[in-house]
Formats: sequence, C-alpha cells, structure tokens
Amino acid sequence: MVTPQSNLGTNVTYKRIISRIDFKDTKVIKGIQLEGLRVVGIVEELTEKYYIDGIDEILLVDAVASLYEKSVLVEIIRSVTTNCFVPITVGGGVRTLEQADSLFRAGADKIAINSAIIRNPDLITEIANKYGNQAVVAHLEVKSLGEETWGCFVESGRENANISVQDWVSISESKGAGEFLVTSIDRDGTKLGPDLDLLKKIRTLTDLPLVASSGFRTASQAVAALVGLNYQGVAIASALHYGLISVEEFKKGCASMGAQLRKT
Amino acid sequence: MKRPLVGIVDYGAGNVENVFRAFRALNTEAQLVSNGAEFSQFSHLVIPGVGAFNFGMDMIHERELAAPIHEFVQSGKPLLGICLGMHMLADFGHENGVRAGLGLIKGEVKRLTTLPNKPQSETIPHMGWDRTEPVAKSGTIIDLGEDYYFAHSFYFEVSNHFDLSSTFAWGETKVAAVIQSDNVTGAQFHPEKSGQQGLRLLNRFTSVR
Repeated sequence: MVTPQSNLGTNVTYKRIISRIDFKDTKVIKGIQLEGLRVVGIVEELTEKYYIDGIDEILLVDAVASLYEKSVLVEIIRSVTTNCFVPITVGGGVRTLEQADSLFRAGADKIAINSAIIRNPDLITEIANKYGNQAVVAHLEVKSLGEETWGCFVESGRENANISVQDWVSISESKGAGEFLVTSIDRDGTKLGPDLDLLKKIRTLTDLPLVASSGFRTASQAVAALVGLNYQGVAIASALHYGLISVEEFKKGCASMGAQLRKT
Repeated sequence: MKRPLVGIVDYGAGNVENVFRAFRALNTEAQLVSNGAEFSQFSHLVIPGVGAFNFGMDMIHERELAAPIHEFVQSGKPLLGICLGMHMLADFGHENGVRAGLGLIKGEVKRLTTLPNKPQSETIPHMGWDRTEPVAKSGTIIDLGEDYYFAHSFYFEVSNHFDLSSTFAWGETKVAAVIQSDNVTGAQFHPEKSGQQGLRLLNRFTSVR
C-alpha cells in the first residue's frame, strides 16, 4: 500500500447537493406532503438545466409508483442520461430484479427501493449481488407519530408499513443496501427545513451514507444536516423547481458555511 | 491520424450505455462489443462496470472474453477499465474468498473496511465526489487531479508503487484512483458520471495512441 503522507491536507469526500425530481409520465410534479401534485416542468429539461448549473446528482422518483408501465420509466432515463453526466438514482415501484436490470441498462446508477423492502426484502440482496451494494438505496418514507416516534410508510406515503424506523434500517442494511434516502412526509414540499430530530435518530442507527430529503429551502438548513449530522447529501425539490434558489446559490451558501463541495 | 474507434466491452454487467453516451457527447465514435473476435477492429477498448468482482469475472469467462482482452493488450493498444472494470485488471479479488482477475496490473482488490483508521466523516461505500491527486511518474498522464464521482466498497491495492497514476485520500491513506501499466489503465471513479471533468479524462484517454 502507499505510504501515508501526513503533511498533505487530507481531502474528504465532498457533500452532495442532489436535485430530487418527482414525476408522473414525463412531467415533473410537486405537491405538499406527497399530496396535491402540480406539474412544474418536463423531466429532461429540468435535469439538463440542473446538470449545467452544477448539480452533483439527480434523484428521479416515479411519484405514482408502479401505476404506470415501466417502459415509460426506461425511456425517461435514456433520455435524461443523454446529456446529463452525473449519477442518477431512480425510485418508484421497483419490485423485481428484471425491472432493476432494465433501469440500470437504461442508465440508472442506483435504484431506490421503498415498498419492496416490506414486501420482498431479498430484492435488495439480489440487486446488490449483481450490481454492488452502492447501487441499492433504501428509501425511508417517514411520518411523525408523536414526539420522537416515527412510522415508515410505503406506496408513496399512502400505507403505514407498521414497522419501526430501527427495524427498517436494520433490515435494509443486513440485506445489503449501500445508502439510505430519508424522506420526511411531514416536511415534503413545505420548505420548512428538515426534521432534524428524525435525521439525527437515523444517523445513530447506521454508518452507511445518508441522504436527507424534504423541506430544504435554504443552505443553512442543508448545512445543519450535512455538517451538523454528517449526512452525505441533501436532496432539494420545490426550492429549485420553483426558482426560489439556484443550484449555484445553494452550493455557494453551503460552502460558505463549511460544507465541502466539489469544484464545478 | 486516423480517428479513434472505441470498443466498449458489453459483458452483461453494469451500465455500458452511460459510457457509450459519454463518448457520443465527445463526438468520439464508439460501439458496444460483446464478441471478443471483434476487438481487433478497435483503436481503444473500455471495460466498464459496477458491482461485484465475482459476478463480473463470471460474465467475462462465460463470454470467453479474457483471452481476447489479453490479445488486445498485447497488440499495444490502450485499454481502460472503469470501477469494476479496473478491479478486474488485478491478479486477485477478495470478495468472498479469493478469485483470480485478469492479471493485467499487479495487485489485489480488497474491501475498504480492511484499511486502517477510517476517518469518521467517511462512509463505506465510498460514495460521492472526491478530489484526486496526481502521483509524479512518467508515462501518459490522463488524470491531472480533479473532482470525480466514486461509488465503491472495494479498492485496488497495487503491488508496484510506480503503477499508481493518481490517488484519493482516505484519511491519512492514499488509495488508488488511476492506475497504469504500459497501455493498460484503470480508473476507480466513474468518468462517465463525473461531469465535464470526466468527459475530459475520456478525451485524454482516446488521444493516447
């Protein structure tokens, strides 16, 4: 192995600013608390814009999860990856290895799994054995059920999975997930900032990379998760889609408050 | 000089299409190739890949690609392995037990968890953008030290220090980012997913003759 060189400033893996794009067909939609969805753009147009603006990663979520033909999803991924050379995570209704195969083949780098973690947890292992742990993201969709108590939901937040956050995390990790995406249904689309108590709780449950989603509007909210709680990434949706802040402004703000980000 | 024609080895693992799209964005002609008999028509060969070492080697052998890859390298033309494609260049991989790789660059592939003193801020998988640092050496340098996207739980431990072309920092330890031995190059990160920096690296690779 290479001799350690102590005097060189050691660089750490950068924090990731991720654009979350919830869509239905080819339309980008955004609601509040996963309800009342509004069309805010076209998937390919937004991904290309965010890529040019310096986004670190793209998260595509099929918001009507599994209600539509997977061939639509494959076409969208093909089209998005034509002009967008950053990693792409795809989620929404993936239930079988064959579906995952076609999404990877189309250009997805990671697959986010939600409902299948309850219905068929071995799917995580099947995907991880073929594509590596880093290719499987366990997607937690969480609602607050009282003080310091949360419940995991599936089917785009419509159904209580009746499983604790602890169990969800430990099942996902033991089956071979390589990352967690944490969606707080209460904060979705509210731009009120993340549920820091929830994020903190999950950080204590795992050493895997964590991405926080829901509620992010300002750089200081993101830095609270990235630097304060050692999250590896934050996913922003509404604030970018509605033009409340640009990718560049957001990243500049995060960097000025101590989050190390890549050069763009 | 003739324009490059890049062969992208399609062995049934990983997202080969993304590498293809990256070359298309560079206006470099590229084709997916799964038949080893066709390798000789290409000026450059890329072995892409994500994921598991054993699964990757199974695919390579199932399609009888190991011998044609060796022949291509013996012809002196440039070959680039990306991520799993880089790992398979090694003598051995330690995934579940020991498994032989292609043996094109001396070294072994091990879990990141076997490295000492994991910095608290780092996670495994090593997932995200990271800075590379060129290591002074001769030969063709395709990585000038930039920010690239990494996604891996294993790393390449080179046997010969001079095969290291660039490194990334894992706390105090320097881990292989780009390795090179004559016309064989491997990249731990994904240039096809590393924005303009990654595209420029691929462009430098195809400028090598």
